[in-house]
Amino acid sequence: MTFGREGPLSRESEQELMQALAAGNEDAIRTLYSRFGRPVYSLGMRLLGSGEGAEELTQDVFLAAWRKAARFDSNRGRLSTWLMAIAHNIAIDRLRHEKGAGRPSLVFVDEMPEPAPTEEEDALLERDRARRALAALSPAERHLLSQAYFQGWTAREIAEAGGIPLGTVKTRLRAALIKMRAANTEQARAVAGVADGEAL
Amino acid sequence: MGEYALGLLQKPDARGIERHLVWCAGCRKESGELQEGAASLGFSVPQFEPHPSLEWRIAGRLTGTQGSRKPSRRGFRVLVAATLAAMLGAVGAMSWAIAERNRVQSIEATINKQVDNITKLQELLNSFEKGQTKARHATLIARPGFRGASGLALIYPTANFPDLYLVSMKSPDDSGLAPYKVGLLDKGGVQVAGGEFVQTTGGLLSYQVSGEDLSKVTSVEVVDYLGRTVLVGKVSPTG
Repeated sequence: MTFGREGPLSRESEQELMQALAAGNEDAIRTLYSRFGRPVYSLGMRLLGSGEGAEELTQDVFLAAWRKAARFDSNRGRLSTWLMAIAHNIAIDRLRHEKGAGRPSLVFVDEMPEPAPTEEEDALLERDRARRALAALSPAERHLLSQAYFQGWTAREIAEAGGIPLGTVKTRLRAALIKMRAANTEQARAVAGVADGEAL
Repeated sequence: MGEYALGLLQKPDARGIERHLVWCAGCRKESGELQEGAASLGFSVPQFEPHPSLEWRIAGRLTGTQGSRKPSRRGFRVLVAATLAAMLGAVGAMSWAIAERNRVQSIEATINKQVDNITKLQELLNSFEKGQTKARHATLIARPGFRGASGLALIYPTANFPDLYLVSMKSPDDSGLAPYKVGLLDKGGVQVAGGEFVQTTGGLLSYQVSGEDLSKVTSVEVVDYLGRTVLVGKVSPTG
Protein backbone atom coordinates (compact mmCIF):
# COMPACT_ATOMS: atom_id res chain seq x y z
CA MET A 1 0.00 0.00 0.00
CA THR A 2 1.42 3.42 -0.92
CA PHE A 3 0.24 6.82 0.22
CA GLY A 4 0.36 10.13 -1.58
CA ARG A 5 2.82 12.58 -0.09
CA GLU A 6 1.20 15.66 -1.54
CA GLY A 7 -2.29 17.00 -1.92
CA PRO A 8 -5.13 16.84 0.61
CA LEU A 9 -5.97 13.57 2.32
CA SER A 10 -9.57 12.49 2.78
CA ARG A 11 -10.66 11.42 6.25
CA GLU A 12 -10.73 7.83 5.03
CA SER A 13 -7.17 8.11 3.75
CA GLU A 14 -6.03 9.62 7.03
CA GLN A 15 -7.59 6.70 8.90
CA GLU A 16 -5.93 4.20 6.57
CA LEU A 17 -2.61 5.96 6.91
CA MET A 18 -2.75 5.80 10.69
CA GLN A 19 -3.82 2.16 10.63
CA ALA A 20 -0.82 1.42 8.45
CA LEU A 21 1.38 3.40 10.79
CA ALA A 22 0.11 1.39 13.74
CA ALA A 23 1.05 -1.74 11.82
CA GLY A 24 4.58 -0.43 11.36
CA ASN A 25 4.28 0.17 7.64
CA GLU A 26 7.41 2.10 6.67
CA ASP A 27 5.80 3.85 3.75
CA ALA A 28 3.20 5.20 6.17
CA ILE A 29 5.95 6.49 8.45
CA ARG A 30 7.64 8.29 5.59
CA THR A 31 4.37 9.65 4.24
CA LEU A 32 3.49 11.07 7.64
CA TYR A 33 6.93 12.61 7.93
CA SER A 34 6.87 14.09 4.44
CA ARG A 35 3.56 15.78 5.23
CA PHE A 36 4.14 16.89 8.79
CA GLY A 37 7.84 16.67 9.56
CA ARG A 38 8.57 20.25 8.65
CA PRO A 39 5.60 21.86 10.42
CA VAL A 40 6.34 19.89 13.59
CA TYR A 41 10.03 20.77 13.41
CA SER A 42 9.19 24.40 12.78
CA LEU A 43 6.88 24.50 15.78
CA GLY A 44 9.75 23.07 17.79
CA MET A 45 12.06 25.81 16.57
CA ARG A 46 9.50 28.43 17.57
CA LEU A 47 8.76 27.01 21.01
CA LEU A 48 12.11 25.55 22.01
CA GLY A 49 14.44 27.90 20.17
CA SER A 50 17.05 25.47 18.86
CA GLY A 51 17.55 23.00 16.07
CA GLU A 52 18.59 20.35 18.56
CA GLY A 53 15.43 20.84 20.60
CA ALA A 54 13.31 20.86 17.47
CA GLU A 55 14.88 17.60 16.25
CA GLU A 56 14.32 15.88 19.58
CA LEU A 57 10.75 17.13 19.63
CA THR A 58 10.10 15.88 16.10
CA GLN A 59 11.43 12.44 16.96
CA ASP A 60 9.32 12.28 20.11
CA VAL A 61 6.22 13.46 18.27
CA PHE A 62 6.46 10.81 15.58
CA LEU A 63 7.21 8.16 18.15
CA ALA A 64 4.15 9.23 20.13
CA ALA A 65 2.07 9.28 16.94
CA TRP A 66 3.19 5.76 16.15
CA ARG A 67 2.34 4.54 19.65
CA LYS A 68 -1.07 6.20 19.63
CA ALA A 69 -1.86 5.58 15.96
CA ALA A 70 -4.41 2.89 16.76
CA ARG A 71 -6.37 5.42 18.83
CA PHE A 72 -6.62 8.01 16.05
CA ASP A 73 -10.24 8.47 14.94
CA SER A 74 -10.75 10.52 11.81
CA ASN A 75 -14.38 11.13 12.85
CA ARG A 76 -13.13 13.14 15.80
CA GLY A 77 -10.85 15.45 13.86
CA ARG A 78 -8.18 15.88 11.22
CA LEU A 79 -4.80 14.23 11.36
CA SER A 80 -3.05 17.61 11.19
CA THR A 81 -4.93 18.77 14.30
CA TRP A 82 -4.16 15.58 16.16
CA LEU A 83 -0.47 15.64 15.35
CA MET A 84 -0.03 19.33 16.09
CA ALA A 85 -1.74 18.84 19.47
CA ILE A 86 0.75 16.08 20.32
CA ALA A 87 3.63 18.29 19.21
CA HIS A 88 2.44 21.29 21.18
CA ASN A 89 1.79 19.27 24.35
CA ILE A 90 5.22 17.64 24.30
CA ALA A 91 6.93 20.97 23.58
CA ILE A 92 5.15 22.79 26.42
CA ASP A 93 5.90 19.91 28.81
CA ARG A 94 9.54 20.17 27.83
CA LEU A 95 9.56 23.95 28.31
CA ARG A 96 8.01 23.61 31.74
CA HIS A 97 10.42 20.86 32.72
CA GLU A 98 13.44 22.86 31.57
CA LYS A 99 12.30 26.04 33.30
CA GLY A 100 11.23 24.26 36.47
CA ALA A 101 7.62 24.27 37.59
CA GLY A 102 7.34 27.95 36.84
CA ARG A 103 6.03 29.78 33.86
CA PRO A 104 7.85 29.14 30.58
CA SER A 105 9.35 32.34 29.22
CA LEU A 106 9.06 33.45 25.64
CA VAL A 107 11.97 32.10 23.70
CA PHE A 108 13.70 34.86 21.77
CA VAL A 109 15.82 33.26 19.12
CA ASP A 110 18.67 35.53 18.09
CA GLU A 111 20.34 33.14 15.73
CA MET A 112 18.22 30.71 13.85
CA PRO A 113 18.77 29.11 10.50
CA GLU A 114 17.07 30.78 7.60
CA PRO A 115 13.49 29.67 7.04
CA ALA A 116 13.02 27.14 4.29
CA PRO A 117 13.52 29.00 1.00
CA THR A 118 10.71 27.21 -0.73
CA GLU A 119 7.68 25.49 0.62
CA GLU A 120 5.52 22.99 -1.10
CA GLU A 121 2.23 24.40 -2.23
CA ASP A 122 0.19 22.54 0.39
CA ALA A 123 2.41 23.83 3.19
CA LEU A 124 2.22 27.37 1.80
CA LEU A 125 -1.57 27.23 1.66
CA GLU A 126 -1.80 25.83 5.16
CA ARG A 127 0.41 28.53 6.59
CA ASP A 128 -1.29 31.25 4.61
CA ARG A 129 -4.67 30.09 5.87
CA ALA A 130 -3.42 30.04 9.45
CA ARG A 131 -1.99 33.55 9.17
CA ARG A 132 -5.17 34.91 7.68
CA ALA A 133 -7.12 33.30 10.51
CA LEU A 134 -4.83 35.05 12.99
CA ALA A 135 -5.43 38.35 11.22
CA ALA A 136 -9.16 37.88 11.87
CA LEU A 137 -8.53 38.21 15.61
CA SER A 138 -8.29 41.45 17.53
CA PRO A 139 -4.83 42.42 18.84
CA ALA A 140 -5.96 41.54 22.37
CA GLU A 141 -7.13 38.10 21.26
CA ARG A 142 -3.85 37.50 19.38
CA HIS A 143 -1.86 38.49 22.44
CA LEU A 144 -3.92 36.19 24.64
CA LEU A 145 -3.46 33.22 22.32
CA SER A 146 0.23 33.96 21.99
CA GLN A 147 0.69 33.87 25.75
CA ALA A 148 -1.24 30.62 25.98
CA TYR A 149 -0.04 28.75 22.88
CA PHE A 150 3.50 29.96 22.38
CA GLN A 151 4.44 30.56 25.99
CA GLY A 152 2.35 27.89 27.67
CA TRP A 153 0.76 30.25 30.19
CA THR A 154 -2.27 28.85 31.92
CA ALA A 155 -5.47 30.89 32.11
CA ARG A 156 -4.71 31.63 35.76
CA GLU A 157 -1.23 32.92 34.93
CA ILE A 158 -2.61 35.11 32.15
CA ALA A 159 -5.32 36.45 34.48
CA GLU A 160 -2.79 37.26 37.20
CA ALA A 161 -0.36 38.92 34.81
CA GLY A 162 -3.03 41.04 33.16
CA GLY A 163 -5.21 41.70 36.15
CA ILE A 164 -8.15 40.12 34.33
CA PRO A 165 -10.75 37.89 35.98
CA LEU A 166 -10.00 34.22 35.41
CA GLY A 167 -13.43 33.53 33.96
CA THR A 168 -12.96 36.35 31.45
CA VAL A 169 -9.64 34.92 30.29
CA LYS A 170 -11.15 31.47 29.80
CA THR A 171 -14.08 32.90 27.85
CA ARG A 172 -11.81 35.00 25.64
CA LEU A 173 -9.47 32.08 24.93
CA ARG A 174 -12.38 29.91 23.89
CA ALA A 175 -13.83 32.68 21.70
CA ALA A 176 -10.48 33.32 20.02
CA LEU A 177 -10.02 29.65 19.18
CA ILE A 178 -13.52 29.47 17.75
CA LYS A 179 -12.78 32.52 15.60
CA MET A 180 -9.52 30.93 14.38
CA ARG A 181 -11.32 27.76 13.43
CA ALA A 182 -14.19 29.58 11.74
CA ALA A 183 -11.81 31.74 9.69
CA ASN A 184 -9.87 28.65 8.67
CA THR A 185 -13.01 26.79 7.63
CA GLU A 186 -14.29 29.75 5.64
CA GLN A 187 -11.04 30.03 3.75
CA ALA A 188 -10.95 26.31 3.03
CA ARG A 189 -14.49 26.51 1.64
CA ALA A 190 -13.55 29.51 -0.50
CA VAL A 191 -10.57 27.66 -1.96
CA ALA A 192 -12.68 24.57 -2.61
CA GLY A 193 -15.31 26.75 -4.27
CA VAL A 194 -12.73 28.32 -6.56
CA ALA A 195 -11.34 24.89 -7.40
CA ASP A 196 -14.83 23.61 -8.22
CA GLY A 197 -15.44 26.66 -10.37
CA GLU A 198 -12.24 26.06 -12.28
CA ALA A 199 -13.13 22.44 -12.79
CA LEU A 200 -16.50 23.21 -14.35
CA MET B 1 -12.29 23.36 27.25
CA GLY B 2 -10.18 26.14 25.75
CA GLU B 3 -7.28 25.34 28.08
CA TYR B 4 -7.59 21.68 27.20
CA ALA B 5 -7.42 22.49 23.49
CA LEU B 6 -4.34 24.61 24.13
CA GLY B 7 -2.65 21.85 26.14
CA LEU B 8 -2.42 23.96 29.26
CA LEU B 9 -4.12 21.71 31.79
CA GLN B 10 -2.22 19.65 34.32
CA LYS B 11 -2.37 15.94 33.52
CA PRO B 12 -5.04 15.01 36.13
CA ASP B 13 -7.36 17.77 34.86
CA ALA B 14 -6.71 16.83 31.23
CA ARG B 15 -7.53 13.19 31.98
CA GLY B 16 -10.77 14.29 33.62
CA ILE B 17 -11.75 16.13 30.45
CA GLU B 18 -10.82 13.14 28.31
CA ARG B 19 -13.03 10.86 30.41
CA HIS B 20 -15.89 13.30 29.93
CA LEU B 21 -15.32 13.45 26.18
CA VAL B 22 -15.72 9.70 25.87
CA TRP B 23 -19.46 9.92 26.52
CA CYS B 24 -20.40 13.54 25.76
CA ALA B 25 -20.80 14.04 22.01
CA GLY B 26 -21.52 17.75 22.29
CA CYS B 27 -18.35 18.47 24.22
CA ARG B 28 -16.43 16.18 21.92
CA LYS B 29 -17.53 18.24 18.94
CA GLU B 30 -16.60 21.49 20.62
CA SER B 31 -13.27 20.12 21.76
CA GLY B 32 -12.47 19.08 18.20
CA GLU B 33 -13.31 22.52 16.88
CA LEU B 34 -11.24 24.29 19.52
CA GLN B 35 -8.31 22.00 18.84
CA GLU B 36 -8.54 22.83 15.14
CA GLY B 37 -8.25 26.48 16.06
CA ALA B 38 -5.22 25.74 18.23
CA ALA B 39 -3.55 23.61 15.57
CA SER B 40 -3.78 26.42 13.05
CA LEU B 41 -1.60 28.49 15.40
CA GLY B 42 1.03 25.80 15.06
CA PHE B 43 0.89 26.01 11.28
CA SER B 44 1.27 29.79 11.30
CA VAL B 45 4.92 29.80 12.38
CA PRO B 46 7.78 30.33 9.89
CA GLN B 47 8.84 27.04 8.38
CA PHE B 48 12.35 25.63 8.81
CA GLU B 49 13.83 22.68 6.98
CA PRO B 50 15.05 19.89 9.25
CA HIS B 51 18.30 18.07 8.48
CA PRO B 52 17.71 15.43 5.79
CA SER B 53 18.97 12.68 8.10
CA LEU B 54 16.12 13.31 10.54
CA GLU B 55 13.75 11.30 8.37
CA TRP B 56 16.17 8.36 8.47
CA ARG B 57 16.55 8.55 12.20
CA ILE B 58 12.83 8.69 12.83
CA ALA B 59 12.09 5.82 10.47
CA GLY B 60 14.92 3.84 12.00
CA ARG B 61 13.69 4.48 15.50
CA LEU B 62 10.14 3.48 14.64
CA THR B 63 11.08 0.36 12.74
CA GLY B 64 13.70 -0.58 15.30
CA THR B 65 16.53 -0.82 12.82
CA GLN B 66 19.50 1.44 12.42
CA GLY B 67 20.40 2.87 9.06
CA SER B 68 16.85 2.43 7.89
CA ARG B 69 15.77 1.95 4.36
CA LYS B 70 15.57 4.17 1.34
CA PRO B 71 15.87 7.81 2.31
CA SER B 72 14.13 10.65 0.56
CA ARG B 73 15.83 11.57 -2.69
CA ARG B 74 16.92 15.03 -1.65
CA GLY B 75 18.16 13.85 1.71
CA PHE B 76 20.01 11.02 0.07
CA ARG B 77 21.95 13.33 -2.20
CA VAL B 78 23.09 15.37 0.76
CA LEU B 79 24.12 12.27 2.70
CA VAL B 80 26.02 10.76 -0.20
CA ALA B 81 27.87 13.97 -0.97
CA ALA B 82 28.76 14.30 2.71
CA THR B 83 29.93 10.68 2.84
CA LEU B 84 32.14 11.08 -0.19
CA ALA B 85 33.56 14.36 1.05
CA ALA B 86 34.35 12.81 4.42
CA MET B 87 35.97 9.89 2.68
CA LEU B 88 38.14 12.14 0.57
CA GLY B 89 39.20 13.93 3.70
CA ALA B 90 39.94 10.63 5.40
CA VAL B 91 41.99 9.24 2.52
CA GLY B 92 45.05 11.13 3.60
CA ALA B 93 44.89 9.49 7.02
CA MET B 94 44.31 6.01 5.70
CA SER B 95 46.90 3.34 5.27
CA TRP B 96 45.57 1.00 2.68
CA ALA B 97 46.49 -0.97 -0.37
CA ILE B 98 44.76 -0.71 -3.68
CA ALA B 99 42.85 -3.87 -4.41
CA GLU B 100 44.52 -4.78 -7.69
CA ARG B 101 44.30 -8.50 -7.76
CA ASN B 102 47.35 -10.51 -8.89
CA ARG B 103 49.37 -7.42 -9.70
CA VAL B 104 52.66 -6.59 -8.12
CA GLN B 105 53.25 -2.85 -8.06
CA SER B 106 56.15 -0.68 -7.18
CA ILE B 107 55.74 1.74 -4.30
CA GLU B 108 55.86 4.64 -6.74
CA ALA B 109 53.14 3.09 -8.88
CA THR B 110 51.01 2.48 -5.76
CA ILE B 111 51.35 6.10 -4.70
CA ASN B 112 50.56 7.31 -8.20
CA LYS B 113 47.54 5.02 -8.25
CA GLN B 114 46.35 6.49 -4.96
CA VAL B 115 46.69 10.02 -6.28
CA ASP B 116 44.99 9.00 -9.49
CA ASN B 117 42.10 7.47 -7.57
CA ILE B 118 41.72 10.48 -5.31
CA THR B 119 41.47 12.67 -8.39
CA LYS B 120 38.88 10.35 -9.90
CA LEU B 121 36.91 10.37 -6.67
CA GLN B 122 36.91 14.14 -6.58
CA GLU B 123 35.74 14.27 -10.17
CA LEU B 124 33.02 11.77 -9.38
CA LEU B 125 31.92 13.80 -6.38
CA ASN B 126 31.72 16.89 -8.53
CA SER B 127 29.73 15.12 -11.21
CA PHE B 128 27.41 13.62 -8.64
CA GLU B 129 26.68 16.97 -7.10
CA LYS B 130 25.82 18.31 -10.52
CA GLY B 131 23.49 15.38 -11.04
CA GLN B 132 25.51 13.96 -13.88
CA THR B 133 26.26 10.60 -12.32
CA LYS B 134 23.57 8.17 -11.41
CA ALA B 135 24.56 6.30 -8.27
CA ARG B 136 22.92 3.09 -7.16
CA HIS B 137 22.74 2.43 -3.48
CA ALA B 138 21.97 -0.15 -0.86
CA THR B 139 21.10 0.53 2.73
CA LEU B 140 22.70 -2.25 4.73
CA ILE B 141 20.60 -3.76 7.48
CA ALA B 142 21.98 -5.70 10.42
CA ARG B 143 21.36 -9.42 10.52
CA PRO B 144 20.01 -10.90 13.77
CA GLY B 145 22.69 -11.03 16.40
CA PHE B 146 24.58 -7.99 15.16
CA ARG B 147 22.66 -5.22 16.83
CA GLY B 148 23.98 -1.75 16.21
CA ALA B 149 25.55 -2.51 12.86
CA SER B 150 24.56 -0.43 9.86
CA GLY B 151 25.96 0.60 6.52
CA LEU B 152 25.53 2.30 3.21
CA ALA B 153 26.82 1.14 -0.15
CA LEU B 154 27.16 3.37 -3.18
CA ILE B 155 27.84 2.04 -6.64
CA TYR B 156 28.80 4.15 -9.63
CA PRO B 157 28.69 2.20 -12.84
CA THR B 158 29.54 5.21 -14.98
CA ALA B 159 30.33 5.66 -18.63
CA ASN B 160 33.10 8.21 -18.26
CA PHE B 161 34.93 6.89 -15.22
CA PRO B 162 35.97 3.49 -14.00
CA ASP B 163 33.27 1.79 -11.99
CA LEU B 164 33.47 2.63 -8.33
CA TYR B 165 31.95 1.24 -5.19
CA LEU B 166 32.06 2.82 -1.80
CA VAL B 167 30.79 1.15 1.34
CA SER B 168 30.80 2.60 4.80
CA MET B 169 29.71 0.70 7.86
CA LYS B 170 29.31 0.92 11.58
CA SER B 171 30.35 -2.23 13.38
CA PRO B 172 27.99 -4.10 15.72
CA ASP B 173 27.72 -3.03 19.35
CA ASP B 174 29.23 -6.08 20.98
CA SER B 175 29.45 -8.88 18.46
CA GLY B 176 31.13 -9.42 15.14
CA LEU B 177 34.82 -9.75 14.59
CA ALA B 178 37.01 -7.49 12.48
CA PRO B 179 38.33 -7.38 9.88
CA TYR B 180 35.08 -7.08 7.95
CA LYS B 181 34.80 -7.76 4.26
CA VAL B 182 32.25 -6.55 1.78
CA GLY B 183 31.03 -8.44 -1.24
CA LEU B 184 29.06 -7.01 -4.14
CA LEU B 185 27.01 -9.85 -5.54
CA ASP B 186 25.15 -10.44 -8.78
CA LYS B 187 21.69 -11.99 -8.87
CA GLY B 188 23.21 -15.44 -8.81
CA GLY B 189 24.99 -14.66 -5.56
CA VAL B 190 28.39 -14.60 -7.22
CA GLN B 191 30.77 -11.94 -5.95
CA VAL B 192 31.52 -9.33 -8.58
CA ALA B 193 33.74 -7.10 -6.48
CA GLY B 194 34.68 -6.67 -2.88
CA GLY B 195 37.33 -5.96 -0.34
CA GLU B 196 38.22 -5.45 3.25
CA PHE B 197 37.21 -2.53 5.38
CA VAL B 198 39.79 -0.23 6.77
CA GLN B 199 39.51 2.12 9.71
CA THR B 200 39.40 5.76 8.73
CA THR B 201 38.71 8.96 10.57
CA GLY B 202 35.19 8.67 9.22
CA GLY B 203 34.60 5.08 10.33
CA LEU B 204 34.96 1.77 8.57
CA LEU B 205 35.31 2.17 4.84
CA SER B 206 35.80 -0.03 1.83
CA TYR B 207 36.10 1.20 -1.71
CA GLN B 208 37.49 0.27 -5.06
CA VAL B 209 38.05 2.28 -8.19
CA SER B 210 38.17 0.40 -11.48
CA GLY B 211 37.57 -3.28 -11.37
CA GLU B 212 34.64 -5.20 -12.68
CA ASP B 213 31.44 -4.11 -14.33
CA LEU B 214 29.32 -3.14 -11.36
CA SER B 215 26.08 -2.71 -13.26
CA LYS B 216 25.25 -6.37 -12.63
CA VAL B 217 25.51 -6.02 -8.84
CA THR B 218 22.15 -6.60 -7.19
CA SER B 219 23.02 -7.03 -3.53
CA VAL B 220 25.71 -6.21 -0.99
CA GLU B 221 26.84 -8.34 1.90
CA VAL B 222 29.27 -7.72 4.75
CA VAL B 223 30.83 -10.62 6.62
CA ASP B 224 33.05 -10.67 9.65
CA TYR B 225 36.31 -12.50 10.26
CA LEU B 226 34.47 -15.75 10.89
CA GLY B 227 32.52 -15.46 7.68
CA ARG B 228 29.26 -14.65 9.44
CA THR B 229 26.94 -12.30 7.55
CA VAL B 230 26.68 -9.06 9.49
CA LEU B 231 24.93 -6.76 7.03
CA VAL B 232 22.92 -7.24 3.87
CA GLY B 233 21.23 -4.91 1.47
CA LYS B 234 19.52 -4.94 -1.92
CA VAL B 235 20.81 -2.48 -4.47
CA SER B 236 18.25 -0.03 -5.76
CA PRO B 237 18.58 2.63 -8.38
CA THR B 238 18.91 6.22 -7.32
CA GLY B 239 17.57 8.82 -9.70
